[in-house]
Amino acid sequence: MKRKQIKNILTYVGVIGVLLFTLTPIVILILATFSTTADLNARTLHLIPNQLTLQNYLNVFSGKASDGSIPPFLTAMKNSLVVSLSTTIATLFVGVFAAYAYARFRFRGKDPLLISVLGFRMVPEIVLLIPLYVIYARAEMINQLSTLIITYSALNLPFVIWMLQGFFRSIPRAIEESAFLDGVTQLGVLFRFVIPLALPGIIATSIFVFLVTWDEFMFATIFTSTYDAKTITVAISEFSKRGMVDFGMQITGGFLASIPPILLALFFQKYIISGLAEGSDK
Amino acid sequence: MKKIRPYLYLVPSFTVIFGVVLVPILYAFFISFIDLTKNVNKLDDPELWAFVGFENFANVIKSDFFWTALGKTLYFTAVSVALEFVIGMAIALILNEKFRGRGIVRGLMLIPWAFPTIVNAVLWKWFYDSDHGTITVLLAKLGITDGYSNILGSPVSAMNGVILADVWKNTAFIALILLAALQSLPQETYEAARVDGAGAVRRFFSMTLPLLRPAILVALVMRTMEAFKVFDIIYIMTGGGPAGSTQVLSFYTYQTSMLFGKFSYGSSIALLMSVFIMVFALVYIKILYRNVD
Repeated sequence: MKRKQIKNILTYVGVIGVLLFTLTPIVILILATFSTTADLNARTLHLIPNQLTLQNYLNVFSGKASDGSIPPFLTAMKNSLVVSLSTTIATLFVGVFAAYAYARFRFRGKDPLLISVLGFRMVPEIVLLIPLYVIYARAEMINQLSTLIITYSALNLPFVIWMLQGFFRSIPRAIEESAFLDGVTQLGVLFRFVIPLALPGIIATSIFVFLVTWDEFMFATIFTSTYDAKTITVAISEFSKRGMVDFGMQITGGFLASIPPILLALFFQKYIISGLAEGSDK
Repeated sequence: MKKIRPYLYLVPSFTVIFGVVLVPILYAFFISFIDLTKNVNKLDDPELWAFVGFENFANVIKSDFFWTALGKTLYFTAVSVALEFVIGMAIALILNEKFRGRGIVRGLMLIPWAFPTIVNAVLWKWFYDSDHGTITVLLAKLGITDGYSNILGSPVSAMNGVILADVWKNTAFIALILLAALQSLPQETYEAARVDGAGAVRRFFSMTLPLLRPAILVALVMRTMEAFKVFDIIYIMTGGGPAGSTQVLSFYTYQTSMLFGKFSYGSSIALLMSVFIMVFALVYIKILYRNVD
């Protein structure tokens, strides 16, 4: 009995340690967004604000603190939403077919093609940066959200194909075979039976693509130079370039930018955790 | 129809991948073999291409900057992945125990994982601020530093400061993968080992670690490849400085090409860098492909 109690206490001490490690930076961040500039610029520790204020939020949303030298926050958020959603939908739609072909069809050249998918997943983005910039600059494709969407789709496709073919493989073939006997077409089987059955995996994969796209910075910062095209990560990086001028605005903008991915992750946590488990043994 | 259907299904994906990944890779080689600067219109006139052969690659290899950047990249990768693995494993083991509110605590682990890299960088840059950063003030108050220190402004501490920020965010990823793997371990074997009198430490080293091997390998190789490509956090927190102390390969490539306009030279750095990534990639593909059949 005593042994068990000691073990319990140790577990709770460990859990508290995990919580402190995980949450401290976030808690400090949230408190700071409600702090006045005076508190933030104090040369002492003001973790708990002397005075609560919404001024930072007002500044971010109104763009009042902006003298035109940083991108408007809401436009950047909207751009990121458009780019991330479009990329997710496009990648999933195109990737489903390729994944199904790998999971179910036999055809010549299947193995080398499948390995090439894995290979493309490993290509370091930095290798593509210069040639893509040259191509896009000469085709006048800079500063367009569609350019970002195409680029991100191509980069995410190998991952999506790989994940989805794993999920499709785990569906019992018998279901498809009996549907074929009932005269359902190949496309009908894919959309009416396979996709619904693989939905948890498809949701997990979609969330991964959305989060990765929302997070992307390197291509976005090189391929956009106008406020109409800059995504939120680029906007936040420019907030911070203003240096010490307005810490409140930098971190408040950053906090707001991290709300969509965090909410998405928490809301779909069941799918994400099983997706991570799946991805690590497939 | 039956013969070509598989290919029809593959065509859309491969068209996109070929256009945006394969063609640019080949183009990157082409750019590395000529002398191209920011003036991309030079490409209109084939007479200006002037193939220089392997000159760009040779210059990169002869340059001290490249090897220094490689060293910094390897340091960043080794230290951050090692810390992330050790802390991530500890977190996974703790969260695998039974306790009240386990589901909620596990869910909270997703927060750092989903937290955007850029925002993480901005946040930690502020923690390290030399006048009022939380960590700066704390270190001074605890007497660890003599007064306020400029953590990101000193070549000695800047890289470690960046690593700590990276560790906070990415430990969660390793913890989540290891936790998922821990939960799929056979409970009966553990009970048997316990009955046989195997202590907790021994059970961990002789049972848990070997059983987790596949998940550990995947997590480590994935993180190693990501860490080796580190860019965003350097861009925001230090810009490669001070005195080149955080100059990693990705940032060096970016600086050379996009800021100094030496496209061909930058492209050669990026291609040489991929040689290292390819080694990690081969290991990874071997692990993944073996598990398919």
